[in-house]
Amino acid sequence: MSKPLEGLRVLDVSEGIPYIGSMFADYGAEVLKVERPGAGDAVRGRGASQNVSYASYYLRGKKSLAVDYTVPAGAQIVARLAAGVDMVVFTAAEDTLRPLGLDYASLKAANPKLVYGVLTPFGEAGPWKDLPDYDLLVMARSGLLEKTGFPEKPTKFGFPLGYVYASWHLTAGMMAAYLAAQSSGEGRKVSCSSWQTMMQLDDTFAECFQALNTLPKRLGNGFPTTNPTDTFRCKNGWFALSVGSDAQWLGFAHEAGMDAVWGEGTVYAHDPERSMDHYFGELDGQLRDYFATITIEEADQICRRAMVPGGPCNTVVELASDEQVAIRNMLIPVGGETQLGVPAKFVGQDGQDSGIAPGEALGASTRPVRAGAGIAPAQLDELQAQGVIACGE
Amino acid sequence: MEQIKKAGPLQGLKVVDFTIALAGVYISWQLADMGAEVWKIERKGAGDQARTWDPFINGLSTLYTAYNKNKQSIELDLRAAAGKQAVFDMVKEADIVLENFKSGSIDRLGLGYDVLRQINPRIVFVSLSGFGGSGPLLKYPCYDAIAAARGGFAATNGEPDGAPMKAGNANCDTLTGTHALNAALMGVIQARRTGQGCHIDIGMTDTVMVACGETLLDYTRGQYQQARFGNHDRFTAPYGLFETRDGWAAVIADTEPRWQAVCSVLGRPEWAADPRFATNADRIAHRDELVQAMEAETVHWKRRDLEKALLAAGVPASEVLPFIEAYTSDHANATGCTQWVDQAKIGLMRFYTNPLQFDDQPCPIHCGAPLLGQDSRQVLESIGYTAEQIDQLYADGVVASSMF
Repeated sequence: MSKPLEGLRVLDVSEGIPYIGSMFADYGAEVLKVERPGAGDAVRGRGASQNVSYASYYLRGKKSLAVDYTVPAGAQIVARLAAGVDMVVFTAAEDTLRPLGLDYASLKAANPKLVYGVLTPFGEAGPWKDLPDYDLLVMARSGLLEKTGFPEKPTKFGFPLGYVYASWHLTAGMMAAYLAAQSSGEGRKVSCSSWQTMMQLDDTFAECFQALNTLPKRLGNGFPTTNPTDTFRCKNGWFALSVGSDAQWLGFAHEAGMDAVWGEGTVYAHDPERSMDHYFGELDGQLRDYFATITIEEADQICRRAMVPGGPCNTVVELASDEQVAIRNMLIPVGGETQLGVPAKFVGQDGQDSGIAPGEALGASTRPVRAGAGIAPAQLDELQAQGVIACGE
Repeated sequence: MEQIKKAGPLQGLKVVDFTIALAGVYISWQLADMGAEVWKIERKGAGDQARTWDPFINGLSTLYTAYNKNKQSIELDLRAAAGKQAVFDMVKEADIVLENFKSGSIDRLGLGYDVLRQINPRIVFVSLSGFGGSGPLLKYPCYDAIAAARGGFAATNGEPDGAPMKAGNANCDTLTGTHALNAALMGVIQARRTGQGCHIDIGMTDTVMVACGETLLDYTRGQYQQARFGNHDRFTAPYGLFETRDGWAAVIADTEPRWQAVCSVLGRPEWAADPRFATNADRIAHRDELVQAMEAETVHWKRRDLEKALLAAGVPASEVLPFIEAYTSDHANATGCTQWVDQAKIGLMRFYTNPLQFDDQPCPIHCGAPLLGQDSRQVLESIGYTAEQIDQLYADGVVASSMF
């Protein structure tokens, strides 16, 4: 059976944010990525200062077309291509695209069913709309970054969490608009603000503010309503525990051989005595001391026997040899190297985990899509000489 | 006030929603915001587990309300044959079924994909769980913090020699929900194309492995060094969080002119010529010294003043806003970040609006979160049940409207 998005054609004019195109490409859509001639998309340069490259991962499954759409001749090529696809997506506000003739109204005129996606850091209106476009700055203004980490300082995420979220929201919105266009014949502009995405994910801050008139605290690896939830250093690594009920706690205490200290009849047997208000006191210290005496494997077995949510804090070193990861096909071969797999498994649709093509060199598809882009054969050299396009080999 | 709006893109799409935990509830919330009709099937007398979670206003969990607006609640006894029949009748009309019970529970209930596909071959059936539907961890419980640990999400954040760090919100739940939302819509696109539905199996730990994308390549290429890199970027410096007099600020100098501007704003122009900091490669090699030197200056600044001065000098920067400052910011108020909604049992409440806009219009919030069984009768009517049939189901205790 085919992949779910087979036949869907996406023109990807994103810059530095590969997750939009990857959502489509990983599940079978035909993604034509437009990049600047010369350096190409910024993801091609990521890690270059340390002689590493992640481009093969970020560009997998996508075709590369090198066009400078900031000049009229290049914008014309992009507009021409947009006339023949189901979706086009930009990571720039529509206002900046209008002078180039790449606004929604202009592209819709030639392709009424077109879905027109726009991702911006802070939306296309409001006082922050022109702030610089970096995931870290969006996160800094969302409240989540300030609330992540130990009490003494916030912790930055190790990957662009806000842009991953916002990209995935935008792709969902674009697919919703595509479904609507299939029946109505009319496409839509779909836009997503990364900042608004991070704000509305908030699951407790605004609710506690409204209901209790309290503000959130930075709790490290704790969670305000599930006690204890924390991460502990075992003899040989870090282990996360997340106890969701008195019953789970009592089961954990029993399997840990700590009934006398933590079990029924002790002060910790029932919440709210384990809650955050009390937690950073004695119980926290007791748990730390306890986990320091065992290995993560022993901790894992205790949690499994007690059916309590717990698990080692895996890094790629552990994940690379993890049986669960292997069975779930979360490591897959792409172009001769091992990359992350795709999480949504379409049961029974064989081949979805193995059929992702490697990414292309910059401009490798410029020549093959020439006709669709409205470039006459004779123009190729001229446009290339002018730097409007580049043809990779 | 009469508003003229184009219908949401998913108008007409119907969702049978069994989800009871955040990751799944998030999917149906997003679908509802985009115009889908979401029939939230709730266990008779109990309902969504979030209904019992702190905090409460007038006995209703505000956590529950946040993720269930725009949905309809049908309270059913799923063990009764007539309750199952009601589900079957809904599935006949539906496009998507969502569930995030413990793996296999829905099959034991007799409402699994193999049963429902007989009723509607085009149905897209999404199963969401902690570890997915296979593998040795299948039967074990998983919460957000455990998915963060096992999937490598936590190991990606924090100081290299310190503890791994999960997010300040339940982000593994909602990140998985967001990916599964995409998968559900892909399933519908495929069903419209092929006439065939599908069963989608998605796990939280699998999804959050996206955090490891780069370090996995480091590892498999044999250049593995470490899993996490603290509050500063691996490849560009300065690029990270700096302490200020009243909190923290993010500062990014990803070009040489921007670095020189940082030096001048901080009153240390001599750094630009300091051999330790001359080029990006030098600054990466001396990153700890750089951060220390910069923080010795930034701690004298108020975060907002530092942001203003750096932005004016062309340096990407931002103060790190506490939640309340983001929530009440001019930008939040000018862009309709939240909307007043009349919530049953509570009254006017502020809900976040959806981050998506269609044709530059926000997704409307038609109604707050439903009380338990609030829409039981109306939904059954909409799928063709007569008033007498519905009365009988109530009398038999198969359908209810507990209204809490």
